[in-house]
Amino acid sequence: MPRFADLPFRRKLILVITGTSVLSLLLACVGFIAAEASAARRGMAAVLSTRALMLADNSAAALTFRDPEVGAAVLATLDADPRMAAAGLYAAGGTLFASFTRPDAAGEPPAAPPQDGVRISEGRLRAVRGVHLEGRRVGTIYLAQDLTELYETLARLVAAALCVLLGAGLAAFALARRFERLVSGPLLALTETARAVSERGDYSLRAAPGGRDELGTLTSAFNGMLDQIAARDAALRETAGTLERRVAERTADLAAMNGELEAFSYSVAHDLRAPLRHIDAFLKLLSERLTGLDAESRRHMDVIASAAKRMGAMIDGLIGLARTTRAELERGPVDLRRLAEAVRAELTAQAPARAVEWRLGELPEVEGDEALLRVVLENLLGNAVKYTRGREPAVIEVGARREPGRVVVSVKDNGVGFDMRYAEKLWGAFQRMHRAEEFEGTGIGLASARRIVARHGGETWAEAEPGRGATFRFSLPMKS
Amino acid sequence: MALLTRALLGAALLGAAPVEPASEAEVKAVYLFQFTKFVEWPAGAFAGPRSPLTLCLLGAEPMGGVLERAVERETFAGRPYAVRRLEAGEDPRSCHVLFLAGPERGRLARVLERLSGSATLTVGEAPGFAERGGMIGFVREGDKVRFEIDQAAAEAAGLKVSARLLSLGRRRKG
Repeated sequence: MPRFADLPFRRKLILVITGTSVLSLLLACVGFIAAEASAARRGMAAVLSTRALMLADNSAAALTFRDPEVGAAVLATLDADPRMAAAGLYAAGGTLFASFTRPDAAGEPPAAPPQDGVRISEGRLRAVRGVHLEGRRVGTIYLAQDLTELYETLARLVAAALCVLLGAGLAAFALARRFERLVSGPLLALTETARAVSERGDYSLRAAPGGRDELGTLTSAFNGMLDQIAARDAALRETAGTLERRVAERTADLAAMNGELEAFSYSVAHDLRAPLRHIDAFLKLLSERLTGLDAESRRHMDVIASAAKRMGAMIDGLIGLARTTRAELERGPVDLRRLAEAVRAELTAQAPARAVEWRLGELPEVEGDEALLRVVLENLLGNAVKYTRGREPAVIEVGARREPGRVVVSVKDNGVGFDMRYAEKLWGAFQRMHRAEEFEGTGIGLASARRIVARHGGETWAEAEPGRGATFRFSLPMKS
Repeated sequence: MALLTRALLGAALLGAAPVEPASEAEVKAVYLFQFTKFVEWPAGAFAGPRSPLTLCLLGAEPMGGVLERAVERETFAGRPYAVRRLEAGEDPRSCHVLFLAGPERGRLARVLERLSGSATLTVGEAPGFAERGGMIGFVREGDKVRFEIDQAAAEAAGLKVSARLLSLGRRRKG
C-alpha cells in the first residue's frame, strides 16, 4: 500500500473526490437509517399499544365476569397476525387470567404482569396496558410482538443504502475520473514540461498557458523563468564565444610574435658569429705581429680576446636555446643512468682537480630525445659541480622516484644554494643568482633545461637554502 | 368475622379477581352491579342527570348486604346507585335493574306485564329465565356462575346491551 503522499496527483484527486462523496453519503445513509429505524420502532410501538388498548376494551367484560374462555377468545383474534408472538390477560390481582401463545413462536406470557409501557426486550416488542372499566382498573393486558418486521425493514433499508452507496461511489468515481483532468491536466502538462526541461536541458520548451487560476499563474511564472534562463544562457554563450575568440586571437598573435622573436634572435646570434670570428682571428694575427708590446698593452689584448671568447659562448648558448625550442624532438628510448654516467665522466675530465663525491642512484629508461635530455643533465650536473666549488668534499646525488604517470629525477648538491624567494627566477634566460666573476656561466642553462623538459611534457622545479645546497628536480611522463 | 370475610370477598369481587370460592349469592350480587356498566338506558329512564340508578331486589334473595356494599360510593355516569327491596305487589317500574330471586315462575309473567314499556333490565336466576321474557338469566356451569342474555327482550325495553357483555352471554335470543 503506497503512502498517500506518493500517489500520482490524478489518483489523489479521484480518491479525494470519490472518498468524500461516499463518506458524506454514508453519513447521510446512516442518519437516514437511524431515523427510519427509530420511526419504524415508534410506529410499531404505537400500533401495538393501540391494539393492546382495543383488546383491553374487548376483554373488560370477560375480566369483569371472570370468563377466561371469552378472554382467551378475545386474545385468539391475534392469531390472524403472524407477528404477534404471545399475549396475556391478567386479573386485577395479577394472576394470569387468559393467554395466547403462537405454537411456532417461543415464549409464553409472563406469570405476573410486567410494568405498564411499551418496550423492547429479548428481541420482542412488548406492550403492557391496563384494562379499565368505567374508570376502574380491572386487569392488565400483555402483548408481545415479533421484531422480524422491524429487522426486515432495517435490512431493506441497509440493502437500499448499500445499493445507493455503491451506485453513488461508482458514479462519483466515474465523474471524478472524467473531470479530474480539468484540474490535473494543466498541472500534469506543467510537470511534463518541467521534467523535459530538466532531463533534456532544453530551455526552449514552454508549458501550454492555462486559465487565470493558481495553476495558470504557476504556468506563466514557470514560462517566465524559462525565458529568463534562456536569455541568460544566450548571453553566457555569447560572452564565452567572444572570450574564446579573443583568447584564440591573442594566442595566435603571441605565437606569431614568439616565432618572429626566436627567428630574430637565432639570426642575430648566427649573424653575430661571423664578425666575432673575424675579431678573434684578427686579434691573434695582431698579437703575433706586435712583438714589442708593453705588458699593459698585452693585458688589454688578452681582455679583448677573453671578452670575444665569452661572447662566442653566449652566442652558442643562445643558438642552442633557440634550437631546443624550434627543433623537432627525435624520440627514442633513453637510458638516463648511462646518460648521467657519460655526463659525469665529461665533467670530471673538464675539472680533474675537483674532488667530487658522486652518488648515482637507479635511473630509469625513458622515452625522449637523447641529445636534448643530455643537455638537461649537462646543465643540472654542471651547475651542481660549479656551485659546490670550495666544498670539501663536494657531494652530488642523482636519483629518481616513480610517481603515478611520471618519473621525477633529482640532482642534489651541498653547494651554495639560493634563496627560495628567487626559485622561479632562476629558470629564466640570462637570469643569474651570482656574479659572473664568482661563478662563470651564460645564464641560459636552466632556461634551456626547462624548455626541453616542457617539450617532453614534464615539469622542472627546485628547492634550496642559502649555504646548504640545492636540489633540482624534473619530471618526465612515463607509463605506469 | 364472617361479615369481615364477606366484605373482603366483596371487595375482591369488585376488582373482578377470580377469587374462588365465593358464595353463589355474592357472585350474583356483584355481577348484578357490574351489568349496569354494559347496559345503556334511554335518557327518559332517569328523572334528572343526578338521579340515582336504582337496583331492585324482589323475592327471597340471599345476597344479604353484599350488593349494598358493592354499590356504596360507586357511581354510574355521575349517578349514585340505590338499592331497593321490593315487596310483592310494589310497582317495579321505577327500577332500572330488577333482580327476581328464586324460581318464581308465576311471578315473572306478572312482573313482566307490569314492566311493559318500562326501561328496566330484568335479571333472574330461575332456570330458562332469559327464554321466557327475562333479559339476563343466571346459569350455573359447574361451580361457575354464567348468564344468558335475551338481547331482543332488552332492546324491546329500550335498553342497549354492550356487545362485550353479549359475547359473554351463553345463549342469545333474537
